Amino acid sequence: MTAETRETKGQAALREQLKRNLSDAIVEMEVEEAERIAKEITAQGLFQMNLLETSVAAGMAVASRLYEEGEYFIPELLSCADAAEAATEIFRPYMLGEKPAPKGCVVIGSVEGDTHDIGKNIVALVIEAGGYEVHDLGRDVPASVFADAVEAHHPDAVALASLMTTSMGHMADVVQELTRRGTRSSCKIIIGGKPVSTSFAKKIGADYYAPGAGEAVRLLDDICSRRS
Amino acid sequence: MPDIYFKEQDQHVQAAEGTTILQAARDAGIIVESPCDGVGTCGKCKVQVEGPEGSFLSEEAHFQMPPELTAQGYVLACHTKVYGDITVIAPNTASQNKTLKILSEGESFSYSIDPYIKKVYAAPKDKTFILAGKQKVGEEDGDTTDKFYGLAIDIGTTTLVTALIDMNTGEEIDSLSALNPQSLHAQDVITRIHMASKEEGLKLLYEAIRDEFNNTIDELCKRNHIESKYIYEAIYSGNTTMIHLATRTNPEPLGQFPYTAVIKGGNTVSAAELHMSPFGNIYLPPIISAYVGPDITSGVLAAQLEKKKGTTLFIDIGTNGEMILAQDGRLAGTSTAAGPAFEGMNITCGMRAGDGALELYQVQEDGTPKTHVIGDVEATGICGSGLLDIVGELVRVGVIGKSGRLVKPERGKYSDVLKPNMKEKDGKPVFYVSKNVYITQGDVRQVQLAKGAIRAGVEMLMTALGVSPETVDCVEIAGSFGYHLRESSLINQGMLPEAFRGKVKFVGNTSKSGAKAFLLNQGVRTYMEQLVGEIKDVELSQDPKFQDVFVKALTF
Repeated sequence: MTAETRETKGQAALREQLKRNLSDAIVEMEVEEAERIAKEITAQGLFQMNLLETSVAAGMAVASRLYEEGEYFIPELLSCADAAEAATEIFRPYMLGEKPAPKGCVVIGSVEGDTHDIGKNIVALVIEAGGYEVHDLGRDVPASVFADAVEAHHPDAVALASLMTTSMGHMADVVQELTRRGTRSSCKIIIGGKPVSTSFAKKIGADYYAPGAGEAVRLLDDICSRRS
Repeated sequence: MPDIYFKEQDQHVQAAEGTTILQAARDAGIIVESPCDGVGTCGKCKVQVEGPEGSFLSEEAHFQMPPELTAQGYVLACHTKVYGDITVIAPNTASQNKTLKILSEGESFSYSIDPYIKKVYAAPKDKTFILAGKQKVGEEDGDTTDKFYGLAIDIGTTTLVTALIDMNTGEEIDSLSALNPQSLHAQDVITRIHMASKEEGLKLLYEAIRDEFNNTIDELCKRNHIESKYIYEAIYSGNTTMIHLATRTNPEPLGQFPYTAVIKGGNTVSAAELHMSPFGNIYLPPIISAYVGPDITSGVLAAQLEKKKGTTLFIDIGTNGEMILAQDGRLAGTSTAAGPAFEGMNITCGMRAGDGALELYQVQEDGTPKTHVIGDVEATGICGSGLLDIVGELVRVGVIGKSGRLVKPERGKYSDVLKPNMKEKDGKPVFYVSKNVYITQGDVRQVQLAKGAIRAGVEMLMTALGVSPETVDCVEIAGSFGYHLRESSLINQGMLPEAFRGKVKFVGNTSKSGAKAFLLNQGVRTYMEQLVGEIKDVELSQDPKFQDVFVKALTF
C-alpha cells in the first residue's frame, strides 16, 4: 500500500484546503501568509511534489492572467512571485523525488548594449509560471553567451529582449551567431520589446515576435506541442 | 520611376520603387511627423494614400492602424513602400506647431559682465579688434564696439529657446522659442541617437537644427534691427545627445551600454555654418555624464547649487529626469529614463502643449472638476502637465487606486459627480476629463512608469549621499515643462516623497539663464569646468537595487 492510500480522508481534505489557500495567498500577494501555509503543509506532513504545480504554479498562472488583463501591474505581479518564492523555499527541503517535468526549456536575456531588464524579468516570470524551465542570462548579454547557453541547455526557444532602438540591432547578431555555430535550427527565436515587431523579426531572421508575456507563453505552448 | 504627389504641399516627388513614403518625403524636404523615426511604433506618420492596386504596399508594424482609418485609406508612411504613381495626403505640420506654449525664463544669480569674447577699438588704425580669450581673432573697420551681441540657446529635445543678448550691457534683448525640428524625425533621445548613428541620419538631424538656428537668428535680427554679423558667440546648452547632434558628432556610444559621451564640453567650436560674425564661435558648457548634460551644468550654475547651505534637490523633469542633489557643497547627479509620457507621447489623447491641450485639472470640494485648456477652446487632447494633474487628482479622490487601477463606479468611493465620467471603450474602462478627451488604463500605466523612474532616481540619489527626504530643505524643479506643474499633483501621485510638501519651487528655464551666464562671464567657464569633475555620477543602470526601488515607486 502506498502512503497516499493510507492517508485519511481528513488529511486529504485538509491538503485540498491548504492547497487552495496557498494558491489564493499567492494571487493576493500575501508573502507571509503564503510562507505560513507552506509551513503548515510541511508540519502536517502533507507535502507532495504535485503541490508545486497545483498550488504554487497555479497561483502564479492566475496572477499572470490578471497582469495580462490589466488588473495587476508590475508591482503586484512581482509581489505574487515573492509569495510563490517564499512558499517554494519552505518546500525545498521536502522536494525529493520526481519534479513535475517542464513543458519545455527557454533561454532568455536582454541583448548586448541594453541594460534594461525589468520587462524581461516579467516575461521570464510568466513563462516559468506557465510551466517552463527558464535560463535567464541577464542583461547586456553578448551573442556568444546566448549561443553557449543554447549548446548547454538545448532549449526549445531563445527569447531576446531589447528596449531601445539603439540595441535592437544586436538581436540579429544572436541569430547570426547561432547560424554560424550550426545551432540555429535546433530552437525557435522569439523577440520582444518596445521597438521591435513581426516585420523586424522577419528582417533579422527570427521566428516570432511576442508583444507581451502572455503571447510568449502561447507561442511556446504552440512550439512545444508541435515538437511532441 | 513612381511619382508621388503630396497633395497638401502640392509637390511631385520621384522615388525609386520600394522606397517608403516617409523616405521619399524626407528626400524631398517634406516633413511627415515621424517621432519614432520610422520604427513603426508611434503611428504618428499616418497619411492618406490614393493609387491603383499594387502601386503601394504596407508592411505590418508594431503600431496597429484602427480599422476605420484603414478603410479611409490611411497607412503608415514609414511602413508603406511605393511601386507606382500615388497621391499622398500628409498634413502640413509647419502651421500646427506655432502655438506651442514654452516658458523661456529661468532663475539666475548676479555676476559681472566679463565675456570671453571682447571688442576693442584701436583708434590709431580706426579698426575694432575682436578678441577671444586674449587672442585676436578678427577685426572690423571703424568703431563697432557698440554692436556686440551673443546668443544663449537652450536646446531641448522638443523645444529650442534662443535669447539674443547685448554683450555690452548683459541685457536680454529678445528671446524666441521654436520646436526642435529634429523631433519631427525622431521624437525621443534614443531614437535620435539610433538615427544619427548613420551618416545620412546625422546629416539630416544636424542640418534641420542648424537651419532652425539660422531662421531664429534671422528673425531675432530682423525684429530688433540688428545685423547678424555682429553676433560673436553662441552657447549651446542642452542634454548631452542634443549637443552631439547640434555639433554634428556621431552619438552612437551614447545609445548603448556603457553609455559614453564623445564630447566632453568645456570648449569652443566653429560657428561658420551659423548666421553670425565670421569670427564667431560656439561654447559648449562641460558635460557631467552621458545623460546629465550641459543643460544641467547651466542649471547648477544658475541655481548656484554648490554654494547653497543645507540640502537642495534640483530636478529637470522631462523625457529624461536629470537631477542633482547638493548638500553643503557636495554634489551628486543622475538621470533616469522617464520616457515621453510627460510630453504627451504614447498617451491615447496625448498632445503637445498647444491650443486645445488640457493643461490643468482639479477636482473641487463638491467633486466637480475644474479644467483649463490652452487657447480657451474645446479640449482636443492632454499635454504633459495636464496628464500629471489628472493622474495626481484622480489618485487623490480615489478614481485611480493605489495600484494604478481605474476604479469602477460601483466599487469606487469617489464623488457621484465623477462617476458618469467613467465609461467603457472597447470593453475597457476609460475616464473622461472633458467631452471628447479621456485617459485609459494604459495611459495611467505609462504615467506610473514615468513617475516611478523619477522617484526611483530621487531615492537612489538620496541614498548615495546618505540624505533622508525629511532633511531636504528645498526642491527646485527646472525646465520649461516643470514650470506648468503643481506641487500637489507631483506629490499626490508619489513622483516626489510626501516629505517634500511645501518645499517645491519651480525655477523655470535655468538651462537658458545658465547659458547666459556662460556667455557673459568667462570666469564661470573655468569654475564650472572644474566643478563638474567633482560631481559624483550616480549610475543607476548598474545598481542591483534599482529594480526594487523602481518597482516600489510604481504604486501611488
